[in-house]
Amino acid sequence: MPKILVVDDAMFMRAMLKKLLTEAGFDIAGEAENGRVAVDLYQELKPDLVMMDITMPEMDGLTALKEIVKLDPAAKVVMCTALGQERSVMEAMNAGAKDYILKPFNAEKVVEVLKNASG
Amino acid sequence: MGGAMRTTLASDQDLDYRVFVKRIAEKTGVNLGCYKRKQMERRLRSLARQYGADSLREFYARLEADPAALEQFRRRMTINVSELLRNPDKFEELQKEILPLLLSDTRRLRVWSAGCSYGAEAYSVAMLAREMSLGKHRISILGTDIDQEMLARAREGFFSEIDMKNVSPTRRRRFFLAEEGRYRGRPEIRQLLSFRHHDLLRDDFARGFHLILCRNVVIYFTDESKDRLYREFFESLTSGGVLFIGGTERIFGAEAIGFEHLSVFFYRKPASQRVGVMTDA
Repeated sequence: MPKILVVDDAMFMRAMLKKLLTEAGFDIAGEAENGRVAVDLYQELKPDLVMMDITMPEMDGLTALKEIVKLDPAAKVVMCTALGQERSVMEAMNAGAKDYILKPFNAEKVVEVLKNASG
Repeated sequence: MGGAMRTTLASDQDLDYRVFVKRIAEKTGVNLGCYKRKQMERRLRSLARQYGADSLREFYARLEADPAALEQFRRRMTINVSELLRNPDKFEELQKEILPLLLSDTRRLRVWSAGCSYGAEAYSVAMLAREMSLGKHRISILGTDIDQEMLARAREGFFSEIDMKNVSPTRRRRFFLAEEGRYRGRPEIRQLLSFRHHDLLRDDFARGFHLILCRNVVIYFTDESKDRLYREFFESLTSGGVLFIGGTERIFGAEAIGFEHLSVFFYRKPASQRVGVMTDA
């Protein structure tokens, strides 16, 4: 099963995602509350997949994405953001994100996108 | 409430479209972003529905998983409508007004059919030029397209009864051989023709053409892509060379590029360009 790193500054969001993804058969490699921690954990845990929020304190998801892709050009990062941030999503796609998920979530869609991205 | 919902859907779809365009460009080299968004998006969503996909993201996933479907899609995005002497009166004008002008100026006529599809336009010019030159000129006609399969067909040179509907019986006899309900160009015209791959939106342009035909190719191009294309064509023409475009097309800002507007479908690069400094010597 793919190991996934869940990155979001909202604890309830991480909890919700962890539950959802575990039920869908993913292994949770770890969780991070901002981009800085995500980059560190990426190197430490070497997850198969990262689910990355865009708006976060300390280091945002875009910056973290770029750092991770620099470390590992084959990294599979799926961006996750609220609607109205299309520009950031396109920037992330251009910077090497594999896909994106828009909030509010549809559980089925989340699982589908992540499975695709991990394949 | 309703307004917010609509906005949400609109931006979701916007992203769906833009990411699709980006992925297709990376995957196939075809840049759909060079085409007008509204028509292209409508076309893509309708295609997606035919594949049973309810978003372009899903459509892409299907194309990516199925190379044959992807190839079919790529081919579909490059339009292939063609027939010989399409707009017969314009080809008559080409033959009676334009070709004599060009042939009187050179013994070596170079023609380019840009976006030639399976070659109907190139074969049309080959016939007309043969008739006008009376063997006095070396004529070469280059057909280019981005679709290899269309180029292969063009090299073979078979045309259907429908392709031939504007070709008179006399011309059919002289220039074509009838084979099992199809028509094949005779060596007399085929030897004037060559076909090769070229992408109008990406590749460099060759120079030194007396006549360029680019008809019904640019209809989905953005104004920006068209402008760039016509500027490139201008550079590719010899002085006095002529550009022949399609029935519904117009070159906006033709004068700014340097073209003279000869008539509705024909634009000319001036015979002697007075550019730069004239010396006294």
